[in-house]
Amino acid sequence: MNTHASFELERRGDVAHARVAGQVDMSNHDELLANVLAAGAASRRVVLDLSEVAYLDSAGVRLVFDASRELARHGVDLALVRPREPYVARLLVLTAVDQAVPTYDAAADAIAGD
Amino acid sequence: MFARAGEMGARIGAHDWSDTPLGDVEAWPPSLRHALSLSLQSRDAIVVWWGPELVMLCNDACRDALGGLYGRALGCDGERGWPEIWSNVAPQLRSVLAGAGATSSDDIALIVDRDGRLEERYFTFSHSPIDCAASGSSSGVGGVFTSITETTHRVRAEQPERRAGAEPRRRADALATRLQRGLLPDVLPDSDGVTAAAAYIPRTDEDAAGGDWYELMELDEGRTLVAAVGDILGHGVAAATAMSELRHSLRLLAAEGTQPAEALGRLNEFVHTVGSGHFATCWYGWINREAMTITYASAGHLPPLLIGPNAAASVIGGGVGAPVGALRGTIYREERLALPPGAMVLLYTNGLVEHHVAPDADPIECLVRQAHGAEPRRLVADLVAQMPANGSRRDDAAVLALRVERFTPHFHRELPLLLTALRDLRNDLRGWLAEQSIDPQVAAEVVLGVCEIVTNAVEHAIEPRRPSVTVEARVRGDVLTIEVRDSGRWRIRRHQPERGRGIAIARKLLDIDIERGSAGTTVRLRRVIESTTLDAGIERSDESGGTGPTRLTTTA
Repeated sequence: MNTHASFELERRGDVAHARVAGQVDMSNHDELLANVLAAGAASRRVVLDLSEVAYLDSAGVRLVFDASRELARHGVDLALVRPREPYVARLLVLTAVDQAVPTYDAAADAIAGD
Repeated sequence: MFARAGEMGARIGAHDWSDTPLGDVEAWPPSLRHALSLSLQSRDAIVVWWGPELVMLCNDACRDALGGLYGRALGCDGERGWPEIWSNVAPQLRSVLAGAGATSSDDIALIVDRDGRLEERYFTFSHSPIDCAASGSSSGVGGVFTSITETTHRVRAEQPERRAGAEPRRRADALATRLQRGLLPDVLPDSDGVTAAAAYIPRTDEDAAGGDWYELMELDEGRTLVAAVGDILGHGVAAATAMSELRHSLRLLAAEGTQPAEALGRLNEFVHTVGSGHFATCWYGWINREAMTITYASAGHLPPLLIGPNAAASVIGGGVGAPVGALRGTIYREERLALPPGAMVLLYTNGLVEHHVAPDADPIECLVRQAHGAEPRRLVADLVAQMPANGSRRDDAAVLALRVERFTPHFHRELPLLLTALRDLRNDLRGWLAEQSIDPQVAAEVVLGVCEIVTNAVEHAIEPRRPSVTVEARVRGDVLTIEVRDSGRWRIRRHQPERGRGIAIARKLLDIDIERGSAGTTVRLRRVIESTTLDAGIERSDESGGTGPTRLTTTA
């Protein structure tokens, strides 16, 4: 992962908990997407945990939409954990990401699903 | 606080008062608030003057009654805000402030715009004291409440008896003087690194206006200063209106980017084409504050002076063609001169120099001596003070002095065309915005908007001449402007519609203007950074990208 974002993966049964931290922009979009899609292999559900993301722009919005579309083609669900930083969280609202993809405040809820 | 009190109430509420003698609205004394609230809800034209500076606050009714005043009268002191009547009302205002009780200024003549026509109308100003124990003045009077009533009908009815032989002529001249003063710029551009002062002195205080004028305007966010001075042959209303016509034509040409020599040529052709018979001298210059050069042409006007920072002086000579209106088809030549940072440029008309010299002295040498090491405001004040007394001036005069420093954007970064450079830009810009005490939420939105634009520049700039993108930001007043420039063109790939999302997001947060030129793409972002937070709520994105900027504010 490049210098300004980190990616950590933890498997819980058939749910992949993928935690991204740091800054998401066009410079690491492709690499993050590849990581998320890899996490989706052999999973029923991927939880993309953005709670530690400090900056996210339209590249991050694309990341979510790209991941959602690609995972859906393989029958894998995507859920989000809302960024804790309010300005980052608001971008997901402004761009209606939180309406397109189930979004949770807590990772535990996202992992448990509905 | 004055939200329900009409347009002016809203403007007063939105105005930043912290730098004015009145201070923050929250801290205004109750008596001022009360008087203002009364005036804003009144149907009569009312001006509230406050404090020893007599800061002006008017209500919506003033717009209908007084026209042009309305826009100027927010937070200006009376002397600057309403110069055309100041000498007539100031004594009464001061006496009320001193505790002498209510009084009035009767039948004050004002030129007002009625349905697009300038007319002379008469008004009586009725002044009442506003008591304010907290004002600190010995009289206990904090301000003056002035209700304005039109008296035109009565004055006109009385006029036939009053009017004697010379009266119509005198009144026409007085009208011309007021026209001229009203038509010259009363507020000069005020930006970092530019100090300017100007004055117009009529031939006599009451009588004939001449055709002297000056102009100073900024282009390209302060990178360019356009300065001009001119003298129109003739006196009275005709000269004053001709002056206004030429001055505004020049402003229009400047705003379109027309350089001095071509502008003078077009002005000359215009005067000949419409056959107005104007005959005018004019000196016209463009100051490039990045290159620190002055490019100019002259239509038979006296050469301005250039006084260097080390007080070496020279005339800005050459580039002289025939006066405007003299010779059809005149082609003006342009000259260019290096302008040392901190140098002062002094523009003037012959009315100024002819009054400043002994009969056999060189007028320009005298002016150079005077301008030596002086500051623009001080110099103009001194020159005005040295003009002969009313009654012994032979001509009107105009003077414009400006000291110019190199243009420096407050934030400047040149980044390689690499996406990995974005993080450093974000950190630097965030730090700079914090130094400007910009609200963290606004800062976060600005950083996001700017990064979207830079991402676009990095990804889509094709055939860049230089592998870099430049980001410049500055704050002036309550407006933040940011310019992102690259040396290529943008190509948005059609089969990737999601690529347009970044610009759509940026547009929601900032006013954006994209200019695609041959030298590259320039994006200008603008954001008002007033401290009051509007609860705009959350706007959802939609395919059209929405209208106008929206804050990412939420009350959730």
